[in-house]
Amino acid sequence: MKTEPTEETCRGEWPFAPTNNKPLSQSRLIWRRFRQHRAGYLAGWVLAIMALSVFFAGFLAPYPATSPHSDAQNLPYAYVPPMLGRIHFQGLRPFVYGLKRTYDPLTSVRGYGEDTSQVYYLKLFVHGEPYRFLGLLPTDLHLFGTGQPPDSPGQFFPLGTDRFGRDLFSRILIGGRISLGIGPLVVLLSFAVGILLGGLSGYYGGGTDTVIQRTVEVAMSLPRLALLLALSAALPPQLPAISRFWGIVAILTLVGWAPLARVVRGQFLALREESFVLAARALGLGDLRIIFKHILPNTASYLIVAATLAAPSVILLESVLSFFRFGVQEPLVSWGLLMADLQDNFQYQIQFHPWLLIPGLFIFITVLAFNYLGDALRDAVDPFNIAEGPGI
Amino acid sequence: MKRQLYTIAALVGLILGLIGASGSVSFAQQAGLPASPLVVPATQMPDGPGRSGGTLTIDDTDNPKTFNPITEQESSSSAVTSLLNAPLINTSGQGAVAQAFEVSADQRSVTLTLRKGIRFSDGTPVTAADVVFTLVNVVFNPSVNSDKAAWQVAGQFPKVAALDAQTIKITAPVAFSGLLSAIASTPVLPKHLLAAAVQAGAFNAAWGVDTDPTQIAGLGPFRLKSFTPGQQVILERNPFYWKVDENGTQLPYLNEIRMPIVSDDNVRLLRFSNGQTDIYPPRPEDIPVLRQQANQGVSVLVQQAGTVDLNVIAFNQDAADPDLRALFRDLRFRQAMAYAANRQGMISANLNGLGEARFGPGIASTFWIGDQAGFPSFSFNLQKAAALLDQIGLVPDKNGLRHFADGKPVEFTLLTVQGSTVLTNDAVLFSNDLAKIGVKADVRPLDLNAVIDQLIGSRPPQYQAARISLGGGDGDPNLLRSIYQSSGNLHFWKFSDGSGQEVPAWQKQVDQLLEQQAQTLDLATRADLLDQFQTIVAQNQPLIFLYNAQGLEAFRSDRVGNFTGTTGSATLLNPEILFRK
Amino acid sequence: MLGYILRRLLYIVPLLLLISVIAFLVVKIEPGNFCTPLRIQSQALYQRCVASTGMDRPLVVQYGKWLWGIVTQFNFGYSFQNQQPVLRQLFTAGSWQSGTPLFWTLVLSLGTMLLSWLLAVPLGIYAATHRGSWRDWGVNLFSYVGLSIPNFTLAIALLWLLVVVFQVGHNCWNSAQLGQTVCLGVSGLFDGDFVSAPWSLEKFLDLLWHLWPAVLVIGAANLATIVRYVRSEMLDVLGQPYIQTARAKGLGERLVTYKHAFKNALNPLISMLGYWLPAMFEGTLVAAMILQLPLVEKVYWTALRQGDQYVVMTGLLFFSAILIGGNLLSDLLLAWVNPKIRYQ
Repeated sequence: MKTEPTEETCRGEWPFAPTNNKPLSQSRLIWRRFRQHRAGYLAGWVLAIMALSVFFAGFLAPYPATSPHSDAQNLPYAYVPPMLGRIHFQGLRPFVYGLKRTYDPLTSVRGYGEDTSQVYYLKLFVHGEPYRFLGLLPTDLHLFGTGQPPDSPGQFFPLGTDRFGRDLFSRILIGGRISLGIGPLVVLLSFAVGILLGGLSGYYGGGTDTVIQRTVEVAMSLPRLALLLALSAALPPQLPAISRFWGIVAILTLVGWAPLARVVRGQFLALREESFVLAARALGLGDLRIIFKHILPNTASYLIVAATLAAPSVILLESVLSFFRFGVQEPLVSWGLLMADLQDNFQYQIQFHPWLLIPGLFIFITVLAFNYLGDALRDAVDPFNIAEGPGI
Repeated sequence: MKRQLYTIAALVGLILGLIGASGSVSFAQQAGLPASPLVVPATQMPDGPGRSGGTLTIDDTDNPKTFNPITEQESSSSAVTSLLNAPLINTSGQGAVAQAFEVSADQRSVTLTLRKGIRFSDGTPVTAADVVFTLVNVVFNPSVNSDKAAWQVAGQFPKVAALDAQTIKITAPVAFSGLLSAIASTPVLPKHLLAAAVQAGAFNAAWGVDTDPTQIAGLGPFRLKSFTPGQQVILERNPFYWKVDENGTQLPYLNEIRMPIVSDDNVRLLRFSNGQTDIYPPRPEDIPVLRQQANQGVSVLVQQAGTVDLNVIAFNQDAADPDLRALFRDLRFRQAMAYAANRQGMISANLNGLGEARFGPGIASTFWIGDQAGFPSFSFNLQKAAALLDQIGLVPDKNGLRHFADGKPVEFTLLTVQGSTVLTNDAVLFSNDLAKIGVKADVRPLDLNAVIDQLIGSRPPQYQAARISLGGGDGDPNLLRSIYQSSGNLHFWKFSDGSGQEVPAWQKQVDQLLEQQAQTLDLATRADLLDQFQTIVAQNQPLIFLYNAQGLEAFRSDRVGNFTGTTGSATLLNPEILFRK
Repeated sequence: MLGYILRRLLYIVPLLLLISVIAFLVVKIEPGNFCTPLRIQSQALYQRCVASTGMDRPLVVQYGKWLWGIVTQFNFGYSFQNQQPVLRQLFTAGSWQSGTPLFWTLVLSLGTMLLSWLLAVPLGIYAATHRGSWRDWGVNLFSYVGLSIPNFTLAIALLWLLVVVFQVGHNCWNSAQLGQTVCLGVSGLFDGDFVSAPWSLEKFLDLLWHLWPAVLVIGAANLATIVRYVRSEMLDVLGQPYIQTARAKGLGERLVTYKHAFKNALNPLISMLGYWLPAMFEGTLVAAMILQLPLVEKVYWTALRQGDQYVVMTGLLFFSAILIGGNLLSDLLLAWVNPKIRYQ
């Protein structure tokens, strides 16, 4: 980086410097400051692209997440290495060769070679294995693929396969729904609880405040990960995977709402005495109306920042839980769960199937992006102060 | 802990030595050696007689929970207690602590003579009173958590009498084929150290992990030196051990066995690769990793039929859902499931190809099972499976899904044990193949305790289907009774016994055959009865049998001599002949 | 002030009481318990086990008995799995030579905490005073990476690097103390017979060798967080008018930075101390599980998997107590460094 003063330093000193003579609205100002935070802006784009891809995962992924592939003898295409480097071109037409098993009896290492006698062209908008588009519309249209049946050697696994011959790229995309979604989801739910309780506490004060504050204190004195482990061990065994997922969300919310309630309460306490709230009250507006129409919008920017900063820790917690197989379970997929395959035997996997580490890279990038985005938003909303809560 | 725990340790695996011709050559008396020690011939030592001294390190899978060999329940404890204790005779029917034994003409009683001058590891002489104490006051004691099933026949325990200080007579109420194996599975305990605990009714808590090592004594090749919870167990050689090699050197060769506590499979492998441990029982997937270290002194042993776990998929024939209950009781359904199990796929995906398919309860290595030739073969064949389902009347709809007559989809949950990769992978593979023939199996990994609860926690059991693994089974076939007899405690696929009304005819036959063989002492007749039993089970597939995994061992051949194997966890076989190169 | 501390301490009592109820309930709703595996042997054995451990009584009675034991005898129950009192199982099992779980947990947590502060504060100040330079950018990137890398990945990667890539096991020395060859190991706290050997320089060095990966795994995220806080607090303070005044007065930059700016930036950092404790605990739990460290966290995790109920309850209670203590401590520290803060 350069050593001369950058835009950033100037911005720090002149946050409200108008570029033309028209005054800018608060939100325009925030947006402008946010765009100037280049890393944060980039992080925002990264997250947006990731969110979009996992939203349309079913279509973008060449295969369904849980669909295994095996050869005609029903032996799974286990641990096929990434095939991105095995794309060949005939003119401009990309193709892959058929998979051929190799076995080294000396080291008992199994691998895959290319059967050059079989050529399979890669096509766009190909009819492959059936799935439900956005979970609703049954279709078999995929963005790309070879269009071969699941037991054909002519498969295209961009990032390789796991031990059942399931396509890792598809699993990452589809698993991203949970991994990317659980952060915002839990933060949103925590906020719903936090805003309700923190708001009530800060707005009314007095007895309500005391009761809620004591509850917050109890909740904040509970050890988060230890409790999470104990609680997820306590989820009823008969629970189907999807209900279990919601159970995990509920538990994460349960251990996460208290710090947010505290942030909200602080904001409400400060705003309660502001003249516009006093005025609204003097006009005889109802409490709920005041809370939702007057106070909440004024705290919104702070809340968004706190939420963005809280999301990465939820994502990391979920991955830790799933990594130790206390979290999401098959047939659902999450990045932490994909990493759990590594935990089963990491020396073997890292040595022979290093591509199984790729989901970890996705966790890393997501958390990194959320951190950058959160910091950028915070600087944009509040260039002077640090309105940073403790995070979830 | 892990692997062994996941394998439900249903039957006490008999882990004692393969070694022991009872010679009685006398040697120049060495301090601590009994007057007539057992000579281990060089032919039973892979590397010949070794040299004394040195330390061996093998990771234990968890903290031992107790040093009490009678009440211990799991492998991290038995890995230690098996080195500290010895039985009167060993599993191959030779004298151990007893120099000689004699079976009476009516085949109901055994008379055993103790080895002369034999002493516990604290130096106290062993007498017949110790044996009587062990059996009558401990093993048969109703308040002690001991394995009583192995000793009971016709609902009674044998009578135990000390004829003199060196001689014990054990008499069963009827002819009992399991008597010798029961004796071989029970260690001899020191009365002087444990009598007080028994009197106080506190035997179950005796020899807990807090016990001062000098208060623990046994007849095994080693004795406890120290235990640091969470860190390591150290065992030292028993100076009073009763075996010698051909040259008259007292065994064990090793001075010390160190067992650091490492509860993670991956870390155990890393520590072995790093040279921190000398022996490591690998998982199938570790083989490629270990083969790469061959130039660093790592040797891998693949044994033909090492582990004898019963790898099965079970269907609860008393399931709460009436449709499923009827379906699971239908032989054609179970046969379809047997056809739908891709055993080669499982062996290839899970075991790195190191296993063999299996279609019945047989285990190749035991005397009572020659081969599986008589069993019907259910090689993977989805067409046959689909045809059988069609026959039952479960016809697929246009989406390929099968439905019951009342329109409900054919769908069940398939339990596996959480954390056990092998079990879960098998279940996932199986459910994938079932999906192809229109049956939905929802794989659900649960904590081991929860699985046990679902399998045998209540009558009738709660589960629908389960991919489980039952440990042991290579011991005396009498131990299989708790699984296959309809009154058995582990008979988890159908509990409708009691009244006997719902028990199908073939099951009655199985019950009868197993009862009959228990009271038959003639080996040929017994093997014949057992053959009949197995063929019936294989035909009726109450359990879907999957495969036998091959036993795998890895050890540092540049450091360890005379290594003969482990039981798949940290329990060493023949620890007394191991030596340091 | 003293009255305030007393009141805070008194307040902890009902707080812990409530948490003990929560801990008890969380543990009791788990399916299966320590006796469950006995069912394989026989139902009678199982029933006897349940009866002897009192697990067949009503929950209220069980809780009451547990609480009564704690209050009257400081007895937190019994570890059925290991047949010893919970306190011994969880905290004090071990010897002077080998250390106990509680000892190692304190050493690792506090040591890592101290170390990360010692490293993070200078780094943060450095980054803040070199704002916009490539050094600042480097520190920033490092802290973002430290914050974003899942600690289990870090632990696994470290182990693998040490053994497979660097092959540390080939580095051996002859230990005069033990009279045997010792090689560099991974996982656990000691190699070979050092576990029960008397303390010596050699044993201490062996311990240090085993500790550093754990410190890294526990400390990485922490270090990154603190660096970020220090940096932003410092930036904040350095932008204040009184710093400009100090500079205008002609005070040296060093004096401005450390005397004026850092002192004022410290307050919010100390108030965050209480919040870092849980993060610390999480790192320690993951490190204990992957690196096989004999910590309270490892005992807790094992007990959780084996259904050793009273150990789990007491563990939860203990970790809560640590959190509460941490919060109290950070409040007091804050009052100490900032006389403006008053407590009623």
